[in-house]
Amino acid sequence: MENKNLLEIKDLEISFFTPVGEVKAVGGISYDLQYGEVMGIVGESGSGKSVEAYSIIGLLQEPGKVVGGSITFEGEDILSYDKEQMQNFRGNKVSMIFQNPMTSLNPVYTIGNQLTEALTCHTKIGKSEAHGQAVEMLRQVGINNPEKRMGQYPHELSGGMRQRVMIAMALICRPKLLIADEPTTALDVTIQAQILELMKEIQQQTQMAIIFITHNLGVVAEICDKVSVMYAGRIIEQGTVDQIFYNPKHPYTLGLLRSMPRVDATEYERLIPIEGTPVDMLNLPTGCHFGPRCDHCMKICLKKEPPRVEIEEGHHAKCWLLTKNCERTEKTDA
Amino acid sequence: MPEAKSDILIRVENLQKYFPIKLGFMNVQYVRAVEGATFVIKKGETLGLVGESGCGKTTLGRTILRLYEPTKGKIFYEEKDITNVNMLPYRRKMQIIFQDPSASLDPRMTVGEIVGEAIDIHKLSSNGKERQERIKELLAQVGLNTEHANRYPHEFSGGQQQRIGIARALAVKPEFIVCDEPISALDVSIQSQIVNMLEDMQEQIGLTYLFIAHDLSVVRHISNRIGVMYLGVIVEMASSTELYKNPLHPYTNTLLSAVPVPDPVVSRSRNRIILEGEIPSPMNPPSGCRFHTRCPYVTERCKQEEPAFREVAPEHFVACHLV
Ligand SMILES: Nc1ncnc2c1ncn2[C@@H]1O[C@H](COP(=O)(O)OP(=O)(O)OP(=O)(O)O)[C@@H](O)[C@H]1O
Ligand SMILES: Nc1ncnc2c1ncn2[C@@H]1O[C@H](COP(=O)(O)OP(=O)(O)OP(=O)(O)O)[C@@H](O)[C@H]1O
Ligand SMILES: [Mg+2]
Ligand SMILES: [Mg+2]
Repeated sequence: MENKNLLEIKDLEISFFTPVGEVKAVGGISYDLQYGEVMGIVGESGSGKSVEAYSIIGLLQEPGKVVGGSITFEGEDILSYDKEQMQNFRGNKVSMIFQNPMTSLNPVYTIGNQLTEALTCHTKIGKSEAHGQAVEMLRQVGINNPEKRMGQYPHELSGGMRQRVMIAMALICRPKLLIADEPTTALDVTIQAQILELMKEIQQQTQMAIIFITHNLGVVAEICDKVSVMYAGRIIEQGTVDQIFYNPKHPYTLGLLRSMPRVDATEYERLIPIEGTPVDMLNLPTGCHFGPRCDHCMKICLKKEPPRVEIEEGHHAKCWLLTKNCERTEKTDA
Repeated sequence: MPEAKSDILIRVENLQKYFPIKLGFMNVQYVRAVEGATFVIKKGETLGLVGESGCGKTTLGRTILRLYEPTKGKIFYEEKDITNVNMLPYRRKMQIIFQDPSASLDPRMTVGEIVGEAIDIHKLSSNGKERQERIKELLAQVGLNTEHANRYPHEFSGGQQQRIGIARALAVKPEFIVCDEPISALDVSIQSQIVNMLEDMQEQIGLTYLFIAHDLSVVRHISNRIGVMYLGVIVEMASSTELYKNPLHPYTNTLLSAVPVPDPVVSRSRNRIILEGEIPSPMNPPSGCRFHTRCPYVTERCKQEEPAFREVAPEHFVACHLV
């Protein structure tokens, strides 16, 4: 099989130029995504997951700026797109589901209006055909009585239903890449289960690639092929779900997995938290950003940023422990 | 079992809470948020409470504290009926920790003032020095240090703010704390710190918790027993182990199967029960068993007759006709 990448991100750097200083929200990340591949992005709040996703779809908000690196989609340099090219790209090839459905549904238009508009705007089909496709799409995302829903406004629907409409909106133009930013975080577990099943089903039918941003490692295990773990603007570990869950190498990834209650625990086990507090993005520690919270912190960790070390094919992590000849020292209290 | 009675800290009997909603002139309807809750919370235990958003968990917790006045039913504290008494002496014993730590802390007060205020309200220190010492001790207890006392809440991370909220609750030496989703707003890496701290406090001071949460795996971890709520009704209650091993109510089953498992092999091989439809309105709940509109095993009887909440095995209660 030909190994063609849909998306290639290389050394991407994004900064926010705020009155109190430069926030290096994304500090040089790289990854590839193949056609039909599902990648999860997990990590600490504020680690740059959303900002990175926004940059792919050209929705980075001021004062945020891509300050380095490249984003290539089907061989084209996205960062050089003008406004019109970007708009086209956004409707046709890539779409996004946002965490809060109300921010991306327009309250003054009916569901039907918004769905058909998305279609007629990006394809050459007529109104009645668009209507037909929109109804079909709503049916596919599990909304009953879709004809009736077409005439309703977003506020008339429940949270779970709005999230389905959002998914329908995102999928109606058959994108090659779907970016889902915490699409189920605000939902109940039962509705989350419905939505995840739905996304899996549609992904398998249409072979679109998905970037799935979430806090929930359970969701990742369920839906993703591979995972990027972010901490303070860096991808500190990446691998297939099996590599990350069964053979984690970075102390932060390990800490995340260990800090959750085990599903197979037969008796009470005390949780093992990651100590310390989340990093301050305005005052990033030198060396490894996780160093001050790391149980295995060595002298070098506080001085120099660790290199990216390949563990096996498709699995790499940024940690001095994985390099040879590193001098161990006591954990230094921050 | 009269001798077991002394183990019981809180008992609620047929507790009910309706919120009136004015829909127009002379047209008042009721949100039936909590309906006929009957259960006990034992001294020193953690009772977990789970269920979908809007099912009445917060309302039940607040009604027990009488932050909401019950519409019907009774609340006992150490077997004393507190349904209609002046709550002042009980306010100190019964505390609450909120979901959103930043919203529950006054931004204009320093951490020391926030914790100190609780001490002052209940006159728990005789002089300034003792008060200062107590504040210091409390901050240390929740893993903050003395310098933090002079800072303001916004200078802290979410996890630290939650610690401040907990220090404030502990300041009055409570016996019972309602923890209303105390970790939902926190980062995954911080959640376990707070869970461990709550467990330590319980161990050290012998606290009793009502622990409300969405995250079933955390509830299972921290709770001795768990109650499952659906649309204002407690449908099942059992020890955590029993509930996970032997869930009896169809809703409990669905809820357990919906939780994503952070283990790729397990989650690939899992068969989950997908619940159809949405949760009905608590203003107009279904007749009979409230779950009947979404239950895969529904019978005619379920539509008409409300199932009783009964003990089907020792300490295992369930409200379902089919059990
Ligand atoms: N408008 C902005 N101005 C200044 N800094 C910003 C702005 N938006 C984001 N940032 C910074 O960029 C960093 C990354 O933010 P981002 O929203 O990508 O985090 P995230 O990983 O998605 O977090 P969460 O899990 O909380 O959604 C943050 O630390 C934040 O400080
Ligand atoms: N003060 C109030 N006035 C009117 N209705 C209320 C009030 N408080 C809660 N309700 C309603 O009572 C029902 C139960 O709400 P409650 O907040 O107890 O649910 P919950 O289980 O805590 O939900 P969540 O998981 O979202 O916190 C809901 O339908 C809610 O809209
Ligand atoms: Mg985000
Ligand atoms: Mg609540």
